[in-house]
Amino acid sequence: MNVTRQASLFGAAEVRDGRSPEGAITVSDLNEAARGALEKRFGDLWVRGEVTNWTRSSVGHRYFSLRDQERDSSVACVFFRGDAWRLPADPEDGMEVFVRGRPTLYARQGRFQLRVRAIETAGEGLWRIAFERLRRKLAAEGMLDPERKRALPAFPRRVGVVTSRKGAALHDIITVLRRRAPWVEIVVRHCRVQGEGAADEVRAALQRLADWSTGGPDRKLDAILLSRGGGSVEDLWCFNEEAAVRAVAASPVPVICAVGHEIDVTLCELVADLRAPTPSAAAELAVPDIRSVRASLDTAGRGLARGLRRLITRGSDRVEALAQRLPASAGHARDVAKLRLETMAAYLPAGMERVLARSRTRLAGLAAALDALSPLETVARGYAVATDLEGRRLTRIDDFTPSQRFRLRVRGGQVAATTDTVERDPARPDAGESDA
Amino acid sequence: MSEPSTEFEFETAIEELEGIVARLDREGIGLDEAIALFEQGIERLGEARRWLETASGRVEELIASSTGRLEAKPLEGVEAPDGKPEDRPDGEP
Repeated sequence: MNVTRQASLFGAAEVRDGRSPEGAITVSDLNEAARGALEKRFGDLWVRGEVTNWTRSSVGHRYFSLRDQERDSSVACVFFRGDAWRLPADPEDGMEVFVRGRPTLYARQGRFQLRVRAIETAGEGLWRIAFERLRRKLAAEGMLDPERKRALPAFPRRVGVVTSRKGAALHDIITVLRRRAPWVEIVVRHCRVQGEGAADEVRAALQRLADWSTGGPDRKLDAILLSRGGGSVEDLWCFNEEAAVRAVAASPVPVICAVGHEIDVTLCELVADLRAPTPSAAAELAVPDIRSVRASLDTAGRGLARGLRRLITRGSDRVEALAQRLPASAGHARDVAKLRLETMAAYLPAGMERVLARSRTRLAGLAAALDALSPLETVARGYAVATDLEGRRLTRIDDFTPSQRFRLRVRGGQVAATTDTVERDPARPDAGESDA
Repeated sequence: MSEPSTEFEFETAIEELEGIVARLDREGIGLDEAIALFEQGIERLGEARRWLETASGRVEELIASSTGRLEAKPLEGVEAPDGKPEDRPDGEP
């Protein structure tokens, strides 16, 4: 001690150990020393108590006291914004919580306090409270009503995706969309899907895609997939934050939302037009499978074939019925017509497209053949059938005009004829019909 | 289809096709009309099939340019993963 004192008299380096007036330390030295000792001695601890005097500073730090009611003691707590942003909701006054934090000293005021890293309550406490609070608010506004859900287009051409470009969800979504619907255009808008500010990024990304969608018919999005893979309640939390949830509800483009695993339900999913259990499932709900589209085309093709085949069968029956009553001389024409019908009927189911070109001429010929065959029956009974020069039957008075050239088919041959006058029957204009 | 469109209207083609099938199924349709409808239907069917098998949609990323304008650029650096998507860990790194 003597040495120290003498040395200080000569203005040499002081030894400030706080053991004498000359060696007095400063207040800040004291506080710093106390802070260091406290932090070294304790480290992080879990402390249980009741929350009181919860306040929030303008920059987002939270201050409160943790109180032990039984023993009437309390400790000041500070929860800095860098940690506190994770908090889904502010705890209510008097709420029993578990705080993880480090005992320390606020050096400027020499105040003992807990620097809090996390707050938990029994079960999912604060998460549940925050979730329910917003859910009730949304329900009251009708945001969760089933009537708000919009139908998705059956055949989308362009799909927007909002997710992180670093996450596995994007890979999964693209893989499924490409496999099921290779024609679909995919427009991705990256955003962070966890961490501070993620909810705002989700909101902005949805807004950007909506803006893009209105930029023209070649940009119009049929649906937006909002997604991320699984994670902790905290990781998925941005999908329960009001900014993101309201953006989903406000989206002019229908939104399919898939966050986390099937058991995780977020508010974004509840307000979305459609919810899917996983990112891949969201992609599956968004587009039809190309195989089912092919199948519906095949069905339409079969419908076409069925329609025409039925007509041909009906024609075939008509020919058959007529043929029964034909004189032997008409046998050849009958056989030819029947053969054509049968050939076509046989071809149709298998290769309709290939057969079509030939069918058209054949069927046109067939139609004429059917028309031509029919009057023969009448002619055979001794009546005449009038036709125009193209072979169309003239059966009504309206079919005739003066000086018109036409043909009369009679038993044993045809007569070329010309109309002199057209005399309409005054009582029955349709009386010209000659056969029953 | 009054306005020229570079995009094939697949849905319209399907609707037309369904309309044609329905008309073909109607009673009392004439053979000539049936053939014309059939021909039209086959043509639409062929177009739809060709489009379906060849159409390939782009995969793009919406990026704000330096001027703040949104542009769609080909998505880069995102490879289709191997294996079943559900088997792999999810979430962000």
